[in-house]
Amino acid sequence: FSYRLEGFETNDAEWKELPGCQNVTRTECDFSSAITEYYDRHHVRIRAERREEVSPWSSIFEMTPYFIAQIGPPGIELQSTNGVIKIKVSPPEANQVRKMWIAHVRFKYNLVIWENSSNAEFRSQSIFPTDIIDGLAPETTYCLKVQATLPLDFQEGLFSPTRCVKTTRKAVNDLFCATNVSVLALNMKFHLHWKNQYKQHVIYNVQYLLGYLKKLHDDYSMKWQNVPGCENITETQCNFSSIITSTAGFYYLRVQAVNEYKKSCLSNDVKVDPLIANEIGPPGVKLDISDVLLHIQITPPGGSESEVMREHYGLSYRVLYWKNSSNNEEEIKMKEIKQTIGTVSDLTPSTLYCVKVQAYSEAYNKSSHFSKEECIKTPGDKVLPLIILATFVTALIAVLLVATPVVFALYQAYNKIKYVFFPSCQPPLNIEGFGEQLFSSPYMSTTEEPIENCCIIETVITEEVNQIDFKDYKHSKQSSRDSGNYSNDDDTSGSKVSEETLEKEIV
Amino acid sequence: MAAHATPQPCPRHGAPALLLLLTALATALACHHLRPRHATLTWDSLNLLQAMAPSLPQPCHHQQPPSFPDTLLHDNHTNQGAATALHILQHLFDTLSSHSTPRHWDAQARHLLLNNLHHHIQQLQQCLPANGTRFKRQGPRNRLLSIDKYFSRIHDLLHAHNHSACAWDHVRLEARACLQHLHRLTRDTRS
Repeated sequence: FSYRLEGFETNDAEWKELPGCQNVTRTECDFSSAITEYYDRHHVRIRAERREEVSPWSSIFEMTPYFIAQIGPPGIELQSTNGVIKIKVSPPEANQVRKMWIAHVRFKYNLVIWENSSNAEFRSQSIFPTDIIDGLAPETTYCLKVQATLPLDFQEGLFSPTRCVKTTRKAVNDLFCATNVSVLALNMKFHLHWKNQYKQHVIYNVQYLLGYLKKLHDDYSMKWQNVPGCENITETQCNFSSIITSTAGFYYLRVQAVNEYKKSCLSNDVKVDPLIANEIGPPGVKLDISDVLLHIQITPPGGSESEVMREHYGLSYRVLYWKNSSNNEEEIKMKEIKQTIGTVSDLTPSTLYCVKVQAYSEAYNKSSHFSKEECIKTPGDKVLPLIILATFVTALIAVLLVATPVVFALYQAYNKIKYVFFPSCQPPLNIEGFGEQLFSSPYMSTTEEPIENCCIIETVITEEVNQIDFKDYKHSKQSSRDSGNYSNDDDTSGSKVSEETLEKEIV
Repeated sequence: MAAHATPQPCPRHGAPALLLLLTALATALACHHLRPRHATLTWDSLNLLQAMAPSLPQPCHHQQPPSFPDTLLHDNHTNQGAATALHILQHLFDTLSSHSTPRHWDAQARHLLLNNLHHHIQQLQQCLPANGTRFKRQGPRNRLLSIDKYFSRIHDLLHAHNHSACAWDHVRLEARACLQHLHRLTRDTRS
């Protein structure tokens, strides 16, 4: 028996002979040369022939080369140095012109490594085409194999043949290498920090590499560049913000340490994804108050860099506000806003409100520290002072209304009392001294009068009679003065005086 | 090269097919929170592409360009938009990182563009499940296949013209068309 194969592609009109597969005596045949379109559907049929007899054609075998193809093994180059293994992987179909798997950058390489001893554990890790395998014990033989995979196509390729290699011992002179290399970034300002236990004179050079270069199959060791401003420095830190020209893309950084003997040592590579490594700083807050609204003005974090942060992080703000009273049971309320201006309503008057704000990025699951607390007091109720004023004025008027008549009445009373007890009338002038003489000394000094040495007895008796009846006919005496005893002018005063004296004695 | 009388889904002139593509991929992109990011990334890529490779002073006479697969137009499923975009970006990344790109292209811009594309790819890979679920139906596989076919034709074109400046200019135009579609897509669906 011999076999004949025919095939055709989807777009072909008729069946064609497959070269190299005519008169096949074995039960297999390689018809790769007939396949040119890897992505098209192909149909193959076969029949048996013997001399002049032919069998009917078999059922048609349909296939798309791309779907049934398997990824072949990659090539490996190994180098054992300084306690680590340097590996270089070349892709399957490396030198082929026509490739089934175009875009070799898509390959993800899977390494499986184990110690060449019994009961060894298999360690599996993803590696770049050019990579360093560390974490290995020195002076030990390890065996490894690599496969190429296309995750998107759910394809896992064949493993390369197993290769075994012995690790060297680690160089002891590398005490001066930079260790603990780490990145600290705040508001898009990036700093690299490292340590060095070697206290002697060491100079550092910080270098960077664009992230995508590790994905290519080319050797990137010559493509490291120095970070400007961090060349030949002695400090153990470097500001590398200047090389972060775009937030889209990774960077690798490493520190080259050079000791006084000009021996250099490279640190491990640190991968930096700018937006993930960066920390968002706190925003600024300013408060303003109007009658019924509290206005919160937020300054985005980062200052001049804030445009970049806002654009890429899609920043939102979490506002916390609460009433600041002595009673610490006040509930803290939260508001989430996307803009830089927020308002709070439902305010209690005459209350101190405090606010703090945090910026966050939902896409990157990052949030900043809270800003400083800012507090502001809401104005008091405008109505209350008016009420107080009105009440005061009314009370004042009422008091005045009541007090005025009272005062008036008191004044009148006072006047009456003063009139009664302390009259202010004046006696007439002609009796001015009258009251005084009545209460003054009952005895008066009299003037000496000339005394005549004669005695008149009748006169004495008369006078005594006059004395007794003096009261009775004093009036009549007075009325008839002229005709009385006072005919003599010289005696007038004298007798008068004596009468007065007599009256005094009687009274 | 088989000639297809189909509209060009990475076409340089607008077409109804384009709208369908946009709609399909619009509903298809997962990772909603990363959508603004994707829009920015594609926009940056476009700018970098322009900076790297400005138009040629002498226009080239392009032959029949390879046609982008029209099966992409009928995509209705959410998860596959990310896979489709990822596939396109990986091919763009691969093509533009070739050693045979023209010398007159700006090296620094090319570095940044490739870094940008690489980053975009990494972001999209996070959107897809780690182990992936093999597509149950043939449709999605065919979709990715058609993208491979398209880029394979671009590689054939370059090879046939010996990586001439004209061939690369054609590739530049195709790359620009692809990025423009991706950008319009992610921008329009930004919430």
